[in-house]
Amino acid sequence: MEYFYDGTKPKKKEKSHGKLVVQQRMRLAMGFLHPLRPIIAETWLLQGDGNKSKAFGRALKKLMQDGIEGQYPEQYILPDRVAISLGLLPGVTIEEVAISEQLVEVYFSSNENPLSRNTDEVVLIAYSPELQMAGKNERTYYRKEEYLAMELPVHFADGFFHLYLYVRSAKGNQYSKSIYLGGFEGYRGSNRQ
Amino acid sequence: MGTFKKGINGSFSGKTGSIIGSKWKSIPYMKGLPRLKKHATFSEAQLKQQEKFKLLLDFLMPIHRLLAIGFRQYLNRQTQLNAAMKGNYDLALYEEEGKTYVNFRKVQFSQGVLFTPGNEQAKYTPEGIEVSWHTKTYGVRGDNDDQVYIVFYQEDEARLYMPGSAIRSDGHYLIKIDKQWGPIQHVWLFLCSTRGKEVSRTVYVPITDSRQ
Repeated sequence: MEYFYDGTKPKKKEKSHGKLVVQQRMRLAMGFLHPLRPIIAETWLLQGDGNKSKAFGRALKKLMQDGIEGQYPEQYILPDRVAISLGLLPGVTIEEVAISEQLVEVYFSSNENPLSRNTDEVVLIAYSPELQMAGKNERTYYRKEEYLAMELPVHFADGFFHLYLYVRSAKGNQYSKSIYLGGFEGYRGSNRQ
Repeated sequence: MGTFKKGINGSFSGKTGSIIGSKWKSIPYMKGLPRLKKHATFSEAQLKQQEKFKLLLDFLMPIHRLLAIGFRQYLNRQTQLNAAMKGNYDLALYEEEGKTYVNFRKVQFSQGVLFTPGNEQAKYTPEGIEVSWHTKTYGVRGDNDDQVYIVFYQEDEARLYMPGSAIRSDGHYLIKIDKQWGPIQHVWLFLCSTRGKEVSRTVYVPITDSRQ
């Protein structure tokens, strides 16, 4: 049995290719989702059986399975495949997204569905993985309003950010699958969708 | 120096022959007696390394109490200075014509995921230096009552100071300048949640002079 080891000495055994691929996927997924942890703790709570840590693990697993493309060592995340929230609540149909400087406006419509309620809340998330920052609408908007506005964090003026939208029930126990609205540049840059 | 895993008899402490057993932060250590080299000579690379360590350690030492807040989550098995050295060694030092300098813009007194306020500014006023920041929190990872810690560097003394703290919703903090002090060259700020569990990364705040 070896009781002695030197932590500074690199291990001689090389890591297998599979291990390196999975490690990179894990690193990418963790880097992308970690700043959103407080949001995911709520939106994935049902999938995590009420456990916040388990909920984050499930979201991480989903991203590693569905949201990463490319071959090692050039794997990358596809933001449109990232699920910020997951659930059976019906989502909304996006009609238009308008961005003017610091303000984002989203126009949407909703079809009649036995599972949906007019009082369902619509939440918009603006997220910049580069800045490791996110923001969400502060005023509560409802499904019946078919409109939502949000002030973007000041940090996003120079950076690139993604917009996600999801619906949650008034009680906060049901969520829809998140919808990706696109990637945008801050108002000091040019729009690219 | 090596560490050892617990055997059937566990760790030991005290001197046994030429071996000394000790424990620090729950890590058992087994050390040999020091072998003093009276006329030790160091290679050029070793001297360079020593110079870098001394420069960074001297720079960070005056605010080591603040580093305990900024690097709190890393203090299980190391001191705040260890953590700060590790976080800054590769990032905040640069070499020019064979000499090592601190890159003030890249120095980090904290590491964490709390969101920075944004729009950070510092300007000279007749009363001192007014540091201001954006107060909105945007609903994720940030609260109005987060503590804002301000650090500044005074060139004449070549020393870091921590004048005090404010809360995020204050939006500004005035550093009153003592008449004996020379010009303040650099200002940084970082935030810490009220429970002290979450901290933000450190933001370098460039100073503008509005007195002219």
